[in-house]
Amino acid sequence: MATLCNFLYYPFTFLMRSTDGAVPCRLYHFRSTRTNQWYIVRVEEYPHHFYGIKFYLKADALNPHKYSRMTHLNEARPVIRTCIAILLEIAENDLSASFGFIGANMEGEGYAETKRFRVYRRILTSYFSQEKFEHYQIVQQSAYAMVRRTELEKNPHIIEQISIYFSDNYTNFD
Amino acid sequence: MGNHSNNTTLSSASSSRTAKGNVLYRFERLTQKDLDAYRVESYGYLM
Repeated sequence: MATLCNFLYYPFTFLMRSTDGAVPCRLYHFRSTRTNQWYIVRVEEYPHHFYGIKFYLKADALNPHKYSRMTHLNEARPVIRTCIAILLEIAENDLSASFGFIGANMEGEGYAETKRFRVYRRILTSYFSQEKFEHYQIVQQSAYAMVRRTELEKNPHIIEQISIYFSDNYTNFD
Repeated sequence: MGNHSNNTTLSSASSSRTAKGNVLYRFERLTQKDLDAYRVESYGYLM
């Protein structure tokens, strides 16, 4: 495992940039040394330097429910920490970067304030200071956003613009 | 945990729509009280 100030995560590799879908994205992968499973991280690039982060088990790549399926591998924390390490790398290279996550619902769970969303919210409020980011949520859709304060100073309406973009482009994670 | 925020968010859910006709979901800012409720201080900030 790699470490960053006692923050343990799996080493990751940038795979490619894709413009095939409606939203351009960057793909990364990493392997869990605990379970030997590979994971894919998809970082979607939205307007206003806003990056949406999703991940799934590589073995589920063709599964239409890959974002909502429970893996039962019991390694959510190191996997989420690895996604955060990717986020930190992006933030280092794009000083205007803001970030968003959606806590996909599990089978039988509604869309509002999902279990995954509550975990992401706890982690993101814990690791990212208010000094650097303003934190936002849409509880009904289990969506979480962290917007750079420097970008808010430049554009006070950025969160409204992100809200509109989200509303027009979000479907769900099935 | 954070019920005050959830109530705010849900009650302020707008029925307005975007220019493209989709339901507009608005991101609501987390208050200091929300952040204090959700945050695990021992993690320490990375950024």
